[in-house]
Amino acid sequence: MSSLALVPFTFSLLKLPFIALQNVADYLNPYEIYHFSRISKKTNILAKVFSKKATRIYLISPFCVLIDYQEKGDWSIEPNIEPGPDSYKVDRKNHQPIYAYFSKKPASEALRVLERVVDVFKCSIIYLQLNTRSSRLRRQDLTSYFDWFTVNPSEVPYVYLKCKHGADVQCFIENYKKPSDELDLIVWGERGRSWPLNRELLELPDNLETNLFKKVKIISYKPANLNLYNIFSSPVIDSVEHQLPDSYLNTFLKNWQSGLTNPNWKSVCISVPRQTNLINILDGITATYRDPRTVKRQINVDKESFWIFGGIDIENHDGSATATVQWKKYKMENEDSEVPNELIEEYERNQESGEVQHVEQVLQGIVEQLLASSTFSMYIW
Amino acid sequence: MSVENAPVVDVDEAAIPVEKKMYYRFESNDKKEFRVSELAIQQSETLNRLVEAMGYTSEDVENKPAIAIENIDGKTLKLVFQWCEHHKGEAIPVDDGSVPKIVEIPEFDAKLMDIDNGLLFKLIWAADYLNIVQLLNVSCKKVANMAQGKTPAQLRRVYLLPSDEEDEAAKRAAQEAQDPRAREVEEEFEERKRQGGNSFF
Repeated sequence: MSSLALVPFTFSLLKLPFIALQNVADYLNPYEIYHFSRISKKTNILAKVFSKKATRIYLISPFCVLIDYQEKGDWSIEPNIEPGPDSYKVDRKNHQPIYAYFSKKPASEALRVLERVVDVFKCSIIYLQLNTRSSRLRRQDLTSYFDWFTVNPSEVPYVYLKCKHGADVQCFIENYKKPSDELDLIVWGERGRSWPLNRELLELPDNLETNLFKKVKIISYKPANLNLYNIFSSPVIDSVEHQLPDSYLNTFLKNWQSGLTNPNWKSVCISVPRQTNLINILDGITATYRDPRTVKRQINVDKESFWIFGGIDIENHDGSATATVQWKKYKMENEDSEVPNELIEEYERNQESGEVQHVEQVLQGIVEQLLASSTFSMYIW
Repeated sequence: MSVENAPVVDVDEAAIPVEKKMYYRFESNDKKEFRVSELAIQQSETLNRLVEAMGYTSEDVENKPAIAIENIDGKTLKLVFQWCEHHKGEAIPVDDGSVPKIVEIPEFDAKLMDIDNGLLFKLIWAADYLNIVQLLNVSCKKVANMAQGKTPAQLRRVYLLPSDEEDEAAKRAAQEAQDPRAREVEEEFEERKRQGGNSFF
């Protein structure tokens, strides 16, 4: 028998000097600190003093709260489906640490856990990642999350929303009221033969609008619905459209010219994972080619600053705004950057023949063709 | 205790540079004396500064009284100096900010700390007082290990953490101890209750 078996099992932790107590706390993992914080008011205060400040906290659907220390690791807390006592696994070599608890009301319990974690780990920066396709996450759970964020003073710099129906987007826009730096909106289809691509249209009411996000990224696997873009009064819109014909992009530009698009946009970049034809996109639109060697313009959007050389200018119906259309790959670091030959050739070809033409390099390999992605960019002045 | 009879901690002579081969004498609060190599003392920032400030020669070390360490007993100080001798010459570790902090307890340290929790408590106090970073690390790590897999209720028992009610009771008791009038008032109140009065006033 070990001699330790005979000694008292207890240890007067709170009688240790402060530095030693901090040292003990440094060896406790976040779950042990979390437990410690729940014992009494005093241990709650001590846990806040001794805990390492988390970089950010995530609320991930359906009910996971994740404490993020970036390169130092993630610690997730989420409910079990089956009843049982609280437990945790910390086997960092093989798995991400996980703390499991059981609750009959997992959404409201997740919010309670979130509140405690924000408090104990001294981090009020919450990233929200929601997937409305999760069968466990009911609509009322979603709205309870949105309500919580509306009244809670935490900062939410980033929201990720993955959904499949227009009703999900509508629920989010109507109920989520927290200003955020960025929204990533992923529109998926139902599982089917061509999944995730889907022919089902995204149905949206006309009156939806939000100005809560500085930047919106849309990734859509459904047929493009440019009304979705109009919802967002955000200066920056970036998107990937998997089903966007050139003709739709042409309509988009004509809508902008007619004042039928959101007037708050400053930069719209739409990536299409295939080669596009600029002739079709600009069909019926009066455009002016700018010489990339002499017309250099600085773009400042979303904390990013870069230059575009040349480009194609189009004007709106009353001449109050100009949009410069270009391909995103021609973003230049500074004014003195080398002007790409393709831009010069394209410009000169246009000057000679009067044609608007975009020349893509011939792609040799299969991989290159698969990766072919034209990012149509429109910067509005 | 005479210098000759003082317990000497095992010393690895080969590990000690020739010019550092000086042994200081320390005395615990229960008058136990220890001879400790200069290199081992370097593990303790407090003692290292102290001996540097004293500027003892080899003769001073033998002829002057042992340096008293007033608030550490002999049993604890023996462990401290055994640890320092074993780890002499090792670099003082730097925290890399891992969550949680990572420290391995070497076999020697594990055996050294195979002690009851009362003595472990004193060892941590001593490591903190003498500012021995790595001894504080391993001893605190041992205490932290007691929390592994425990529920909040189990943690409360292991670490003797008072509940809110116990904290309140202790606070009241402390207030009463500070204010004798409060106790008098309470006693008077109890007396009146015994006499059948419904109201104190």
